[in-house]
Amino acid sequence: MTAPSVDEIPREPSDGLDAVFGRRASTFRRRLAASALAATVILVVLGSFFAWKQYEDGKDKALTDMRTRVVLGATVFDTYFAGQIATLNSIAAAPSVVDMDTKRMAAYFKNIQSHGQGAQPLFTGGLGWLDRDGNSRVSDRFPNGSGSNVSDRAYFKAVKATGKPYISAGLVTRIGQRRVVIMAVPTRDAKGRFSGALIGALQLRQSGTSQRANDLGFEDLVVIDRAGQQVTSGSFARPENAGLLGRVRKGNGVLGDTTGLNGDKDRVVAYANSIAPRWTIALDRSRATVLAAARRSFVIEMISILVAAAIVLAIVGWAIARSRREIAAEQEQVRRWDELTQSLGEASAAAEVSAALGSSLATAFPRAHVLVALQDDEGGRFTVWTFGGGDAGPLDRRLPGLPEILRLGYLSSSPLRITQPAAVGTVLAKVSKSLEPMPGSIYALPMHSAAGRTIGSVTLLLPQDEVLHGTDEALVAAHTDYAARALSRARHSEREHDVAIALQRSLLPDELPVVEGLGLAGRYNAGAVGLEVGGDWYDAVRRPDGVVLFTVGDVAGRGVSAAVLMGQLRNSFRALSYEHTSPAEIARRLTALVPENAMATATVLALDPYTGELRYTSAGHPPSLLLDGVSGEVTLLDKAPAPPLGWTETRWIREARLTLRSRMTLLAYTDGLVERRGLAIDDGIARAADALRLRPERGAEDTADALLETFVQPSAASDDVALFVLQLDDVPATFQVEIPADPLVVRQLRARLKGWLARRGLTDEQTADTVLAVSEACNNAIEHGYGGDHGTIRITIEHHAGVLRITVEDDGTWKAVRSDPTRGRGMLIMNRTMDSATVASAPTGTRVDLELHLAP
Amino acid sequence: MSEAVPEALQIEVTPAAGSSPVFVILAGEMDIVSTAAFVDSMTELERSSPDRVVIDVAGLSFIDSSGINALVQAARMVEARGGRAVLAAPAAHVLRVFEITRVGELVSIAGDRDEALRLAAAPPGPAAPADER
Repeated sequence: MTAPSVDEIPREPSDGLDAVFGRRASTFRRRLAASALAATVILVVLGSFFAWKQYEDGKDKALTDMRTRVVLGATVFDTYFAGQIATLNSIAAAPSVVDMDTKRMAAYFKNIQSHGQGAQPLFTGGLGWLDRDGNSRVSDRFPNGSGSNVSDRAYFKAVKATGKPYISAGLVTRIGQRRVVIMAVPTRDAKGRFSGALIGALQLRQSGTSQRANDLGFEDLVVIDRAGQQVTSGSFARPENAGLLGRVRKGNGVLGDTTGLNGDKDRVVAYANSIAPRWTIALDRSRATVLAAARRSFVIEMISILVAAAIVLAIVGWAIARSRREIAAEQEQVRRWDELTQSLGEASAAAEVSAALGSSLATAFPRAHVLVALQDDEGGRFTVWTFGGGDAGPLDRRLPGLPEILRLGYLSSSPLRITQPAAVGTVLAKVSKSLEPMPGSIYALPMHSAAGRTIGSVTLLLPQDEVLHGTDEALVAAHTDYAARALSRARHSEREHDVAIALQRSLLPDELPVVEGLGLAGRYNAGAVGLEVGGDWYDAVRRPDGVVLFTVGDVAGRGVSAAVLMGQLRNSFRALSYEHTSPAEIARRLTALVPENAMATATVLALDPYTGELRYTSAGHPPSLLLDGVSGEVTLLDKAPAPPLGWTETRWIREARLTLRSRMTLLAYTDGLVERRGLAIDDGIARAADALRLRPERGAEDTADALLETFVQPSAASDDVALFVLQLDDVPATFQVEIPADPLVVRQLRARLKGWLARRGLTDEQTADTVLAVSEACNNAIEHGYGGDHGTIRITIEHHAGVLRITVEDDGTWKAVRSDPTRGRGMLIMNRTMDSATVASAPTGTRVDLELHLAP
Repeated sequence: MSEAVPEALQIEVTPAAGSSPVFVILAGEMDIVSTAAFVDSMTELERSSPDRVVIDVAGLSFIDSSGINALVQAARMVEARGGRAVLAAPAAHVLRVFEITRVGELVSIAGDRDEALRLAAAPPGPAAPADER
């Protein structure tokens, strides 16, 4: 009895099914899309970061470049001025200059100037000599001097005072008003005395005009002389930004974001200082100009990155959208699968399995006819089910010709597809009248059991415009396969359950005793199919002495052990009931049979059908119900409670007595009858009492059926139920008992007989006479029949048509003690109390016949 | 039947042995089993040989032939040694059994105790021979 419960049905599809439904594939796609998205984001972030870094580097490079250029410019100036000073010094050492011979000097100067680089004179602003008083004595342009006196000029004063070369700030010449820078060195006569100053002038032009300078990257070059004048501007204007000027007068560097020399905002200023002339060389440019290249390349890079990212995202988005559609489709399939597995999980018979499979496939292919054929368990007969069929509805499953169509799939080892119209027409020829419109194709496949045996087939008749795709075929195959497995399991479970039920039934009474005046009915309901068999039982025994003992019990738990204990208890009850008439005594002995780890509840009742006396005991069992059919009153038999068997001590077991009357009905049951989820057991008992009250006039069998029908739902996974109904009809007209030849028993018999006779309406005197006569007949059997040995006495008393006919029989050999003078009194009593009394002895026993006419 | 069966027959002998007359008061059922106790009681009583014994059967609910036999034998035992035994105060159903079995021909039967004492004081009787088949 190990039928699998519903929970144990495997829910996980196999790998093959997983592949069919593409769960892994869709998961993979989903993950891929997510990964691509993440990668794109990382790519954009990294690309942007590096582009930004590059942009920063480009900026730095541009600034460094500017700085390099101004430093280079400063060096150029230093070199130039050093060279020019050196040239002036060498000219000052010339004999004509030392001799102060102006005529020769004029020629000499002119000669020097003409030997400059290319068309340029060596000193672009001119070359001349001043005497010691500052008078212009000779120059390359004025051989006899310009006539001007420059003794007030700073450069003359400095040379005269220091005797060292001097480079002036930018200044304007007095003659010609040219903008120049004067380089001056002292001249000395032959005796080394200061004789004057040799001056060379550098003519200044406005910067930014030279294409060559621009080519070299010196546009926007600013040269500031020692006086702070911008020698590169036409008017020697001083920079407006005095603060910046102060900063750039020493060393070199670059200011990336500052206010320019002329007060303009957002400027880049690179600067360097030339030592010899003490000039400051600066490049003062707008940031936009300086950083333009870096910005341009940064923008281009960012655009490239974003375009690439957009493309990747578009691809990913498309993939996700597509995957989502596929997932939705897969989920629909999975949902159908779950529905199928759920309904198959509940299935316990071929019909249910085929119904689950067929309706599932009909849902998946709503316009197709779905035909399912299943062989019975022995591999013999086929049963056919039909489903779907769209608007036309399913085909008639008894349609002739269907089995031949279903045999296609059964005989085929693999799925079979018929699409040729001619072939379809041939196959469906016999059923074509029932098919409107005509299907366009047939798809058939076999059903295989787990053992590989073909147990049936599934056939789909598809409409003209519907074609099975690969996943559809896989769906059909998977559903069919699962259904086949479910069927195998269901059949296994059915067999198991059948075995369990058979065992249970074998342990329950085949038939109940037939007792005059009593209706007895027992019922056992095994609970839902698929559940293990329980340990409920009922039984009834009619003792030879006429007492009916009956019991209803429930062994806790399910399965073999419960069934075995149930069997033991029931068999013991049967055995004990022949030894004891006391229910309590029987219960006391039953409790000893229950092992320590087990528990059972039981009620044991004894009814004397002749007297109506009922004795009962309950060991943990729900109270029996007693309906008085006359008054409609229902009584709970709860006066003798004890703990369950196996738990109770024998001394706790008591019994209660009451006398029943005709038209009373007694119901004993197990808790499965009255226990419902969400319903107190007392409510269940009350409901049972109500149900009992409704049917006072029905026989015991009908009452039992009605109770089962009312309280036991066949489909629900209910507990098993045992119940026993006992109904008292009229007082039995026949008193029939078999008792041991024991005087003590005869004494009890007298009491019982008296009770019965009284209930039969005899007068006290008739009752007393009958009791006396029967007692005498029994004494006879005890003394003469068995001579004190154990034997059996059979007493039959028929009360019919005002006559009592009494038979007392024994199986003993007649030991006539003819010499006993006292024994004759027994015979005398029988003769005198009865209307007739005869004793017939035979070797096999003695029979006493008595007759009493009751009519007045 | 293993159940304990209550004593079916209660026997009370009063007054104590040695005095006379002696009352043997029976109650309950006198059947094939319970007569043994009565026989024992009577055998015990005979040791003191009371000359007058009144057996009060008023409390008997049942008596069968074995009970009758025991009563008759007890009475004869008393009278055999010259004593007097009287059955007193039988209920209707007991009297009916007495009549059926013609016990009255063998043992004196009194309607009540007073009558029984009077009969016990009288000479032995009735002298009719027992009906012994």
